[in-house]
Amino acid sequence: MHDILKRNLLYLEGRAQNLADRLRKIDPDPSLELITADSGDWTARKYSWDGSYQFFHSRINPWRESRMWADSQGAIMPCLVIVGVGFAYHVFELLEKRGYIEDAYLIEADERVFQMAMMVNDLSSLIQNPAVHFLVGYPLSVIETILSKSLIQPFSVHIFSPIVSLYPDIYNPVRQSLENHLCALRMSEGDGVENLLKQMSAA
Amino acid sequence: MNILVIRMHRFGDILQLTPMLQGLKKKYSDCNITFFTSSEMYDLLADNPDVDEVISIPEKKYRYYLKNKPEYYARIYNEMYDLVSDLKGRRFQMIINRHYEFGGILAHLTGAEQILGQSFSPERCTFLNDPISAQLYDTILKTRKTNRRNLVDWACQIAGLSPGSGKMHFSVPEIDLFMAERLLSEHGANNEPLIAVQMGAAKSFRQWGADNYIHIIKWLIKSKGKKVVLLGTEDEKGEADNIRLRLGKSNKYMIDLIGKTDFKTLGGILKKCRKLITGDTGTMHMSASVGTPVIALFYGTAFPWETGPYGTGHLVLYADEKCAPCFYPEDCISGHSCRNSITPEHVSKAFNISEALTRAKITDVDFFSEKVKLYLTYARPGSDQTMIPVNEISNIQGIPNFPDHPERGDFKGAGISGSTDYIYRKGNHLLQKLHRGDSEGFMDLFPEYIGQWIKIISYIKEKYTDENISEALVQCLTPAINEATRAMQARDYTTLSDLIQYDFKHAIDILTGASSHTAYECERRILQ
Repeated sequence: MHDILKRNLLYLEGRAQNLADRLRKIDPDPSLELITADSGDWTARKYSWDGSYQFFHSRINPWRESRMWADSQGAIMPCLVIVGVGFAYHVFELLEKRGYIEDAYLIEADERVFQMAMMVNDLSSLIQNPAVHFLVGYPLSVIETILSKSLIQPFSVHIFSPIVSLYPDIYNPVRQSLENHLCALRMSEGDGVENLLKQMSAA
Repeated sequence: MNILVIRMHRFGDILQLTPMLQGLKKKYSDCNITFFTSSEMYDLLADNPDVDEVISIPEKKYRYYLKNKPEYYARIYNEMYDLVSDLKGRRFQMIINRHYEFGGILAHLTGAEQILGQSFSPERCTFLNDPISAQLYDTILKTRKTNRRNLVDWACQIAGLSPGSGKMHFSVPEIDLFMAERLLSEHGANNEPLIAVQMGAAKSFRQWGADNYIHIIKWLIKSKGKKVVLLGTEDEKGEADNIRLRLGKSNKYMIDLIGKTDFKTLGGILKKCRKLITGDTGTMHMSASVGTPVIALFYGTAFPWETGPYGTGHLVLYADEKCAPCFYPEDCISGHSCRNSITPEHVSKAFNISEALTRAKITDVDFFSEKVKLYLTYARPGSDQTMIPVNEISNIQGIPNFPDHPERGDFKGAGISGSTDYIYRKGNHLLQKLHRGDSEGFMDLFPEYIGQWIKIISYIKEKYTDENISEALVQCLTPAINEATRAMQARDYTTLSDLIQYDFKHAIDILTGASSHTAYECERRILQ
């Protein structure tokens, strides 16, 4: 596990020194528990103060779950945003399904979750891919600034609900901001969908 | 042939399209039919054999949010944008829009070789794109009273089919029949003949009134020895309480199911009843769809030639006033007196005639009233449905196929497979929502999914004769449902998704004989 982390961090240093430093310094989160799925892959659960818990990825087969998730996505644009990274199984699946990408922005709210992902999965191919951008542990204002500058053409947004539901207070405003930005870009194309919404608001 | 049909709401109107769907499948044997509707209507069509796929949106919620929560505009816009892109990608050859303006815009944005019904263009706004729809519009506007074509047959014609191309259809799987029977038993039904009564209609000027219903319910109980099943929505609860009070001791012969039925249970209940007495309601079309004869009361804006129950053997009482069918009920100067033209005596007479008809004792029928007409519906393949004045029935030779009259305890549903197909599709539908990031929609629907499994457990416990399978399923499903309850409270989507994909899927495999997994194996997975 530590070998994988070391290797991932090594690659990350080359791309995002600050993030690598931050990940090195933080202590693991005691509310996160690593668990082996039936398939032998890793998943984890996060405990709340009241003892309830939520799983990150399937307890049976995280890869299969991620393939199904990727297959269920609508249009996957060359420029895309994935909200909720977790252990990144679904990130690999989506990028593989898409093939060529211009830019992929991966938003993970919790540095400790990302630290855990770096421990259990080999993320080196993602880290080394210059089209892949990690936005880990950033506040909304920073994410908004980065994305409004970078996303200047229509993009697709892919929500991974199990991770997003762990931190709704962080992810929901990010999602809202992405939706507003995408809506503005699409409306500027004059696609006619606003007629549909106009009718729905009027009736 | 790839066909899209659009109709968003009103469950009676959607059921009225089922003969058209059947006709399309007959005409284009390899066609693929996608039905686009609102989420609330999904269950009406999910196991219709003529529909290949149902796509639904929470239209009501969207409309509410658009008017009251502007912060949701972008999300709804993006979802509709993605929907339109998805529909466009399906390359429909034909779009049949039966939802006017909204459907017209959607049809225009989706695009197809042929758009039937209302369409849209930025230059012309909304317009009718085919001559039959234009003719229907003109007829309703200018010559409604002389129209003799039911909307079911109009829909067939709009789709390029001959009238009478199919029958009304609503699937009631065996488990839902079982649940309907159980609901009836819990409310005191034994083996006595049941008559359903649907009091309400959406608009007050279309309601016949509590006094009239009390009169007829008393007559059914005291003179005919029937038990009455009262149907309706939660809004009619007050009216039902009023009736129960006024029935006095007889109220033990009334089963109040107001607000207690979803579509499937309603279909099951109606299938278990011998007849339905109702105004022009969605329940009337549901009854016609499951083959239970209707005695329908038409007055005011309701015009039986247009929206009367479809199929042979239903009776329609029609208050044929000079001003009928009413166009502007709000301006009525007679205080909707047409409602009172139809009296409880008319209904009881119609009931007796209906009983005689279903016993195939068609002799001379005597029904005379100056203001009220009594018609028998008569549908023939390849022709428009017609309505025959009952006094003329004896002149008509060979009216076949009155709707059947299921006896209680007589299970002739689609078998367990109907329910397993349904729940399998429902599970996939839920996963799709979750994967698309609609966790809110997923959580709205998940309790229904669990409810369906709870129904299945009840059914298995009482009806399954193979004890090994029954035990394996109960032992598999009980911990799965407990775990689902925990996961719902914790918003643990991963576990809910695992349960649908593995544990509940295993149960489906066992039910359909596709797997011989034992209870132990299912249990092991849950407890890990």
